[in-house]
Amino acid sequence: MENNNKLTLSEMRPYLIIGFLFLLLTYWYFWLATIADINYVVKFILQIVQGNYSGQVVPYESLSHHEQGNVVLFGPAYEAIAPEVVRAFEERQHLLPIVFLVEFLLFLTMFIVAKGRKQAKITNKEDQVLVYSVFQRAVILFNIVFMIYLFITGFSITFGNITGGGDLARFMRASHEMVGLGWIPIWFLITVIAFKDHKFFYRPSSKLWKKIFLKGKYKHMDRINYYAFVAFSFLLVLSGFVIWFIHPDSANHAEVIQLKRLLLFVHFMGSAIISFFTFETVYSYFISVKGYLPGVITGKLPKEYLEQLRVDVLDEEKIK
Amino acid sequence: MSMNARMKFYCDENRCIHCDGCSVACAEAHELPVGVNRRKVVTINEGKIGLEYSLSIACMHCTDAPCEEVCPVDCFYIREDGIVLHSKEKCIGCAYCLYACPFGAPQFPEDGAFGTKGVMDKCTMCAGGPEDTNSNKERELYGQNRISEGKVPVCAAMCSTKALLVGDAASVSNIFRERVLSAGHGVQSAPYGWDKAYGK
Repeated sequence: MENNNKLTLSEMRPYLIIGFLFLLLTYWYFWLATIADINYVVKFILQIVQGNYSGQVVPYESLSHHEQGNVVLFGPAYEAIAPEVVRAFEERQHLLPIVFLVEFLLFLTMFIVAKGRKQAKITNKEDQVLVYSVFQRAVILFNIVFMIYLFITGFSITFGNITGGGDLARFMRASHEMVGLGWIPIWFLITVIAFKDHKFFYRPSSKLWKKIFLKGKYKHMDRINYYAFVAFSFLLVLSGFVIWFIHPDSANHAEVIQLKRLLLFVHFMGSAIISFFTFETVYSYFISVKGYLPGVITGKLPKEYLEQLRVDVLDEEKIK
Repeated sequence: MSMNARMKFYCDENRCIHCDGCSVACAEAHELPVGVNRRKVVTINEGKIGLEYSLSIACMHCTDAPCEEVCPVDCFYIREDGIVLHSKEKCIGCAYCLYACPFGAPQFPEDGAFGTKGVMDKCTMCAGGPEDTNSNKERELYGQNRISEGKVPVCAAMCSTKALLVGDAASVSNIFRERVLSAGHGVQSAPYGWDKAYGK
């Protein structure tokens, strides 16, 4: 069993490639594309880690009379992050459709290279295996519904130039906050149940484990999708929560405005990245391989389907 | 007002005594809800002798307004005279204008479920909004439209020390220039800022 868990260099290739691309993207995004003062941002983040959220990275006493006035009235270092927020917001409306088009073309290419869709030949639908417990189904379904709603309402803010504002767009924006708040426990639960790599640590044997963790093993890209989902959802959940519920209100307290600007920047970035990995997940589970949607509701999948496409799940069924 | 007038506020820090007359007058005149402060008075270096001063701050009606740039639904518009206004009918309350504003001017009443924000409210320089001038709807949404009646915004009208100046940028600039030039003349041993404000 232990030997199976060790990764060879060829198996590590997808992680290395994605890691390298991610580093490249990070370098491009933060050091070439952004107009925010990255040195300031780094200092600010280090200060946050130490418990200081003000954004005043140089001692207030060292500032001139005029600079002190600016800090107290409007928050510190306006030029460091705010122009980036303005620019990012303007550009997102125009650039995101292009990004999504490129992603679509990428998936289309993958689809063509893979010579279409993998499908299981099912002759006996009645012979089924229970794969998802009630708890798992509830979490997965809630997660799907919440995420779809958050995507729609989030993009209704981003693409406000299309909605044009008004009552419906306002309701969607307000409900994005509330549904986002409701998604936090769902996100936590899906993070726990989808942690299939717990098998690296020990083999679950009790019935309880089977009800909590999803069965099977991750393929490389699915594992990357999972960890990207966990990491960037965490950023989204944290930044979203703080942006909307931080006390005191930044409208009347300049001391927290810089933190909110930074977190809005993080929220923008997180939403753009998680979009890609969500599309990749949908592509992996439903487009490149024909999924079995009723299984998420009934919890059961045809045995033939598992034999042909999800052998890892059947293998786990045998190990009891 | 000339065709090229650009309406601006200016607060003379040497005159402001933090009486809060401007913010109270604004809240009263426009019947603002609790928690919405279109105008705020802030004292800097409070208690530090020689360093303490106060300023009255609201929307500064920027020429190149970042709120107008960042608004996803384009609810802002800038009048010919430079006053930055917005439509509450279009605003979705996303608060991006607040993050973009260098002055913390946009305000959001917490009137939704679980404290979610309502539509944005800010200083209109007493010029109302996009609705029919002096209509009930305009009054209800944006408060008084004193500019259409040829009046000065209520905050500046109420300012007891005339620290808060408003009007065409060139006129405001001239008034302040005169004040600076007259500094150092007049009464002696006055409170902090008095000499600069009124002369010795």
